[in-house]
Amino acid sequence: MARKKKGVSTDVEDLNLVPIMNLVVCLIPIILYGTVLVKVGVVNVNAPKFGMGKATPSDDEEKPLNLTLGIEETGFRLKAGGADINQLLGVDPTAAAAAPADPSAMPAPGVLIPKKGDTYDYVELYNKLVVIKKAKPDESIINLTADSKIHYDHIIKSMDAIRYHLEQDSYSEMDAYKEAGIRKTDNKRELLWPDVVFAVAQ
Amino acid sequence: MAEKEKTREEIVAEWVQAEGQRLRAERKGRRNLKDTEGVTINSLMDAMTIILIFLLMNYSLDPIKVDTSEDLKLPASTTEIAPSATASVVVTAKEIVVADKSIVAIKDGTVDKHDKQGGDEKSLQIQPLFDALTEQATAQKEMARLRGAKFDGILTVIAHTETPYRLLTEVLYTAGQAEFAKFKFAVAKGGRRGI
Repeated sequence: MARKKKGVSTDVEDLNLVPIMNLVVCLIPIILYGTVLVKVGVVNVNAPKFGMGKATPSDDEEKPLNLTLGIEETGFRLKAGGADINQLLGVDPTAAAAAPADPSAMPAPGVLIPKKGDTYDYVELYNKLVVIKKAKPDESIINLTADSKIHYDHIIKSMDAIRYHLEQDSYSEMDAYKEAGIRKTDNKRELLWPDVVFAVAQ
Repeated sequence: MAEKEKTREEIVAEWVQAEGQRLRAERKGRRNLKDTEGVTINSLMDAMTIILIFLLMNYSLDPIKVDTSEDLKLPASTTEIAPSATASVVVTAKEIVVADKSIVAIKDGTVDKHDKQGGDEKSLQIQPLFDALTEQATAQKEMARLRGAKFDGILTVIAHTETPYRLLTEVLYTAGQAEFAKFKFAVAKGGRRGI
């Protein structure tokens, strides 16, 4: 009897794991190939507005506001073709004209949001775009342009700043802005300026 | 005769006994050996299983795979839109790649003027890229025709974080000329606002 019991226990121990090991060793490189440690997302961009691009069939509609965000070396510049941007933002036009960093240059149109040190002032950009959105709630298209040497990284960050309406309409501190959640209505994220159109002077 | 038969029985009994002892000893030895093997394989199996689960959790079914390197770092973004299966163009710090083929070299964030349309430095059209994207657009149109669908003209742009705006617009303009009308910029998910 005792021998029988030993025999049974030996059978259990005899389980051959080598084929399973072989399978696992083969599976690991296959799965490793399809594994990404960086999760990729996408940012949608509308057809660019180039001088004579032929691939802009859905971009015929002329929006009255024609809001443009320019990313310059000195900061952000907001312009509106179809309205007075100073009036929309409640800014004194004479004060806005005095804003350019280079005093010898002709005052550029629009409102400049100067850099804070070396970093772009995304908080102020958001605050101003909320004010414009409140004045023109039906508008969603914003043209985006930048100086030729501006890095792609700044463009993506700017698009992040203008896409969603956050919990508050205005922020004064960067930390509060960073931590802020996106405002939701009917469980849907409230959009601010989601339709970004690339623009470039040819 | 009786002695002979007895001797044979004894011989058989001795042989059976000796054989039994040998088998027992063999079995015991084998069991000891197996015990040692089992321990090694079990711990290895545990490690493999953990690795397998970890990899499966990170397994990506995304249609776009980006091999990030020093020359291709994606900018971080707060977007939560997943990528879709479209044609793509990769703009690294050193080259522009379409369908795993290097199309144009990039030096200091610019394309050589000889690769521009008409050799004009100010031109927005990168000629070899235009040819490659036209080929892609033609293939996609054919596929759409076979499926009975409409060519959507979407291009995913996978660009290095330090790509200058001018080069980006040149790529978009060239893609526009090759009949790509909508663009998706690939970014690394999980970025934080304003950082």
